[in-house]
Amino acid sequence: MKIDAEAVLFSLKCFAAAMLAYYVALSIGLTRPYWAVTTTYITAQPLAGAVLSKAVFRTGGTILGAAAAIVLVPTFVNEPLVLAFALSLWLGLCLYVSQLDRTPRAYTFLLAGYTASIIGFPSVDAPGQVFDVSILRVQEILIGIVAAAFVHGVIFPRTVTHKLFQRIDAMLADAERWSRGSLVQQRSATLGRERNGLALDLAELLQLSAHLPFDTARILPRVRTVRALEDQLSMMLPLASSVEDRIDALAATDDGVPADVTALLARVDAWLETGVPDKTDRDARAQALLDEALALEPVPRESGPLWREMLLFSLLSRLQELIATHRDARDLRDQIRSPSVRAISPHVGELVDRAGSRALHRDRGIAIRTALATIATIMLGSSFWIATAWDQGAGAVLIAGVACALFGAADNAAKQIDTFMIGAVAGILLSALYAFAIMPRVTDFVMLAAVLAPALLIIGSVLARPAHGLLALGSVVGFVNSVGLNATYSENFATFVNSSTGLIAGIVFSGLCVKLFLTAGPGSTVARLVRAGWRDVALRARGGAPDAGPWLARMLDRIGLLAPRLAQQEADPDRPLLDALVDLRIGYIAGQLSAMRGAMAPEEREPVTATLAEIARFFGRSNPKTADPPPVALLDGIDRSVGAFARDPERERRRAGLLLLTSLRRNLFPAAPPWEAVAA
Amino acid sequence: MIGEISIFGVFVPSLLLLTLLALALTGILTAVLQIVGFYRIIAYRPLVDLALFIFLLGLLVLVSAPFGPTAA
Repeated sequence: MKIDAEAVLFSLKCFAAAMLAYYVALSIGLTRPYWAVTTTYITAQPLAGAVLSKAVFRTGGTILGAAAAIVLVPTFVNEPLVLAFALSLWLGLCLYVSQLDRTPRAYTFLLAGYTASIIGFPSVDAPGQVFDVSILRVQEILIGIVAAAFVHGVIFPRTVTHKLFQRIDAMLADAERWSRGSLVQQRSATLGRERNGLALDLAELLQLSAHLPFDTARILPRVRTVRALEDQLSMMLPLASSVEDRIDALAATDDGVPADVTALLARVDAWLETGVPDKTDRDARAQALLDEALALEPVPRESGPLWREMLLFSLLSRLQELIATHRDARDLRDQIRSPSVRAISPHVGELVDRAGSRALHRDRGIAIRTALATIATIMLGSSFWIATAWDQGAGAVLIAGVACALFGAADNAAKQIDTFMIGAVAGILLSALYAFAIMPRVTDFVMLAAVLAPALLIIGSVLARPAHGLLALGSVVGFVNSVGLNATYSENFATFVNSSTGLIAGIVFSGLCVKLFLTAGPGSTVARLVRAGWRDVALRARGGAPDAGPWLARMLDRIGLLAPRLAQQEADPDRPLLDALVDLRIGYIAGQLSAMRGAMAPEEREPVTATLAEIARFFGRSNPKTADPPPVALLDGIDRSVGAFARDPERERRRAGLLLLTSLRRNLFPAAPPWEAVAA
Repeated sequence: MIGEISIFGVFVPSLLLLTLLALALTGILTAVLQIVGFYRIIAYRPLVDLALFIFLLGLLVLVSAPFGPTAA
């Protein structure tokens, strides 16, 4: 019921913005006022900040695209086919750039691409109008954008900040619950899968924070603080799973987990349940737990049960990091909620200053393929249109290009285009009813608004439901563009049928081309993601990505991309996803080892260098289809390194080296028998 | 009378340019006010932002009016 009320409000706002834009465009006396109306619907989103950011990006993109059309059309005006090629190249280029961006900003490039098409293709037959059409388009879009920003931003705005606060609280509660699941050995089968939802949450946080500077809340948190929180959250997943792994390994040894460690784990568990949300003594209690964990750390020696002590040591060290991460995340949450821009504590200030930029996974191959497919679609369509001199060809080709640009990057592009087409057909049918039965009787603006209200309000309420957004978008394009929102009623049935046929033909054609050129299913996307992750691990093992922050962000982003694809692909998505997490930990440790090499003794450096080279070779060559196990020589190299470090007289270095090697060995060879001194 | 400005042969209505400029200025001004903490003493931020935009647009129109075609 609550969602319905929101959808109704949203729909009313959309309608108000549309009528406002239409009225303004009419009053100024612009032709094609329906561009402004369509814009109000395309920029409409539930969150105020998101509308404003989309508005800004759309303005920038439209101006850029109009400029491109003004440059391209007069230059190639004598050769229609060359002009079509130039426009398709421009669209392809913009599409490529927008796919590499992957933040809401990408919309600018997308729009720059297809605005040039929208202006350019109809100009192929009438090149003299390109200047007028360009400036008209910019004006209409701006009117639509200002109307939408005004209505969605000023009237009962739902702010990004509010949503961000809600999401952060939910995420922290989840993260704490998941960490507790790792500490006490009560793991349900669903926990692992659920936990990978954290990677998705991080992606959502990133998208939300991109809108933050445009939000209309009274108190805006700094984007940098949100970044710092993302840094902490992204550490939690690998840390909690490492702790879990070490507890498992210890429990499997003859003596099991020592009693005092079990007691400590129980106290950390209790702290995560009740202590962390409590602001007053969070720091004091966290410090007490950290001290306790530090006091329990054994000093690994060469003699005695080294492997067991290494495991224990690794567990306690990771546990300390986990405690600190949870504490910092909660502190940052308080900072985000704080009305002041000043840091609530010096430590939080430090965390915020350290926050790095978030790197995202990029797939140039897929971006190039989508761009090429779009270019090919436009060129095929243009050849047909120009060769047959079909008078609606320009419209069909441009809508085909737009459809490719909008949906080509998705895994299920063909399906999305089909949904869009169903919406467009429904919109056109509705529009036919309006244009020839209702509109002829309309005499003034108020009556027109009243008549349009039922149709637009229904479309708006569908638009408010994310699952059917595409359908609504299609019907907006189908309905608003053809219903005849002009200064005077001038509908002609033949023209209507012709242009509608062109529109549908364009969408059908783009659907066919997408099926032809972009046949990759989710399976190959998964393989590409996994392989890209492995190459990144290899890079880090070679010392190529010394800065852990962006590297970690990229790996986690990939886990976030993998999770939904695996969920729809397999019955049990746990396994390969956990592997991605293991890869992440291996790469992280390998990078730390590689950075430590300069400080090592020569007899330690030799086996470590060999091990890292072996890791780089393994991950650089692995193929997701065969999924070979890591080579035995690698285990040998790790064991030799452990032996070398165990003999190190310098305590700190021995500690650091053994810590990293324990993690590496556990992650690469979880099934291997415990390390023994004879291997050295 | 609303004048038009020629940019590379495209006649752009000056109101369009002024609106874009005013939008950009509003964006900068609100960001500054946000950092200063001005919005903490405000009840409903969107209306303040809207008023700022209208002020700025009006100001720009007034300032640019002497350069318009009617002044000549």
